[in-house]
Amino acid sequence: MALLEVQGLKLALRGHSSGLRFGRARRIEILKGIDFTLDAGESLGIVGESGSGKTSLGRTIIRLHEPSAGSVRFADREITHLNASALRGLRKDMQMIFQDPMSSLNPRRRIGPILAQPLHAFDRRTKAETVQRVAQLLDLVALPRSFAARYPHELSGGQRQRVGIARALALEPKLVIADEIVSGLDVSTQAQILALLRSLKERLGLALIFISHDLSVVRVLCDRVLVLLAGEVVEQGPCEEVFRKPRHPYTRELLEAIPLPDVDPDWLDAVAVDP
Amino acid sequence: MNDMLAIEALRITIAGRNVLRDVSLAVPQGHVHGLVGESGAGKTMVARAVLGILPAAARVISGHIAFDGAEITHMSERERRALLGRGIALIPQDPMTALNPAFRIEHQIVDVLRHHFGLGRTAARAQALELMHQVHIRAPERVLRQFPHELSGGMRQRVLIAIAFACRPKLIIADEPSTALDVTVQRQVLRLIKHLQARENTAVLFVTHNLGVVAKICDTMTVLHAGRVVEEGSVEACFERPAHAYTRALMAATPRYDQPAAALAPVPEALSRDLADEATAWDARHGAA
Ligand SMILES: Nc1ncnc2c1ncn2[C@@H]1O[C@H](COP(=O)(O)OP(=O)(O)OP(=O)(O)O)[C@@H](O)[C@H]1O
Ligand SMILES: Nc1ncnc2c1ncn2[C@@H]1O[C@H](COP(=O)(O)OP(=O)(O)OP(=O)(O)O)[C@@H](O)[C@H]1O
Ligand SMILES: [Mg+2]
Ligand SMILES: [Mg+2]
Repeated sequence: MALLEVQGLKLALRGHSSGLRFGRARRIEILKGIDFTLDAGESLGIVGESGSGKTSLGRTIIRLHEPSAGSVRFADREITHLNASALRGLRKDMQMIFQDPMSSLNPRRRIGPILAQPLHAFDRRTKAETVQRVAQLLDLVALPRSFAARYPHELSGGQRQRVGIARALALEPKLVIADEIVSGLDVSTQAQILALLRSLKERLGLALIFISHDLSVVRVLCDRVLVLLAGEVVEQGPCEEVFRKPRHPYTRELLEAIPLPDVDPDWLDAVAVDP
Repeated sequence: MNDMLAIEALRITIAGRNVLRDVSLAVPQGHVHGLVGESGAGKTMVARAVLGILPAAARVISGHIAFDGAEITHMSERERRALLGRGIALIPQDPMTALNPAFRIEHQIVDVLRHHFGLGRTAARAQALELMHQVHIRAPERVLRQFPHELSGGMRQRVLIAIAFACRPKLIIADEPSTALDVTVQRQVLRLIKHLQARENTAVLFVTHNLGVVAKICDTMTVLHAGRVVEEGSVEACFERPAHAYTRALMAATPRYDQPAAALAPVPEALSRDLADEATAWDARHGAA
């Protein structure tokens, strides 16, 4: 049974301020009718160029944006128009992790309290239980328990990203939406985070929506992939199939743009110098 | 073939900690040399040493940097500044912070041209327009009148490439010039750098942690780990017959869309430990600063 069902999802937002000089701000259609489903424990990659609407789709699913049409069903429940208090309960089951962990971690709080915060927001625990859970979360993402006493700036980029993941897992969500969370990391750190996510997915039976513009990274982690272009799905299917035999020319273009680590002096010449 | 850049046994410390441990590398004229390694390896420190913009706490303990045959390790600030732009130019990682948000693009390019060539305003403006054409910006007149925040990341990077090539430098240092861009735009930007580099016969020191990018744009490469060179050679040799286990590990840690997920392997912890031990042993042999 599908954990998440997205149907005809549309999102319209007001244009940016630079458009204002042409009169009243127009509403721009950013998502133009998205359909897909995600099973429990399944992982879906969302790919597409910058501005294609990947982040907007993630934010609309967890209702940080109000959709203008369509529906989102989660665990057999219509959540498209839930009010604020009903949404709060939902946040427990659906978590989003953002690209830049530094900006989403409060710089003045230590890692321990940062991880404990979602716990306090949802249920009453004794101090000892909270400390215990924070230790468990640090174990889960393979960070030393002593890191609970550190501040975000005392961690490397990869370590901060682990904290972001631990915080998202604090309430044992069923679905995690990860937005470009390995893009800024070097290859070795990226490989560690990917391996971590892969094992968490298996051990915890997590469903994962993994947003990235790098299809190689998606291949490592996802069962299926959805290709977004200008707010529309141009292709979706199992990674295995889509990557071996892309059907849409845009998917092919995305794949060909990835520099594989093989020496190939002609690769750059294959594109025009003009944009 | 003469080396446009030659670094010999460069050792740099920050607050008594070794950050570069006898790094040597050479970039021949007209070649693109990749400098790869994980975060903290010291790639940017090498670039900053060449540009003479090391952090205040950094000390050059020993070693030499030669540009076009002349030693520049301990140049005065004035000599160094004269060299920047005309002889050595930088394509920075973050196009947003490298451009002044308060000024139109035209102002920023015209400034560089007037400063380096003593061009008059009209001549500089004409030259700026020509440069915009060379980096294949459509509607260059409009782009010149825009502010940095009005351009996409790829456009901003094109403008910075134009500025870097504007003074016809002999050596360009590119520090992660495409890391912030999405793959399609990255490919165009790499193509543009390669195109201009080949035409002008410029030497390029290309800093990146992306092995795929190195494989596509570089002729030779150096792999850095904890401030030590662990592998160097032609790109063909390093990719097809890597000599060091760390180079092989980096390749195995690079995901590829054409291989099953299981193929990806993070750098083994035992290898990381060995490398850390070797760095400690190096420090013991050479003494702390
Ligand atoms: N709050 C907003 N108001 C108006 N327009 C927005 C807003 N957020 C995003 N947009 C626009 O929506 C489109 C999709 O943006 P989105 O951030 O979802 O793209 P993305 O695929 O995540 O891109 P990237 O890879 O650069 O993160 C873009 O054209 C963007 O300018
Ligand atoms: N301003 C500074 N003060 C003190 N230490 C510094 C400073 N800048 C860098 N370092 C240290 O010097 C070492 C080399 O850093 P460098 O910035 O050269 O790494 P890098 O290889 O460029 O990494 P990245 O891929 O993350 O950019 C690191 O251990 C880093 O922590
Ligand atoms: Mg985004
Ligand atoms: Mg760097």
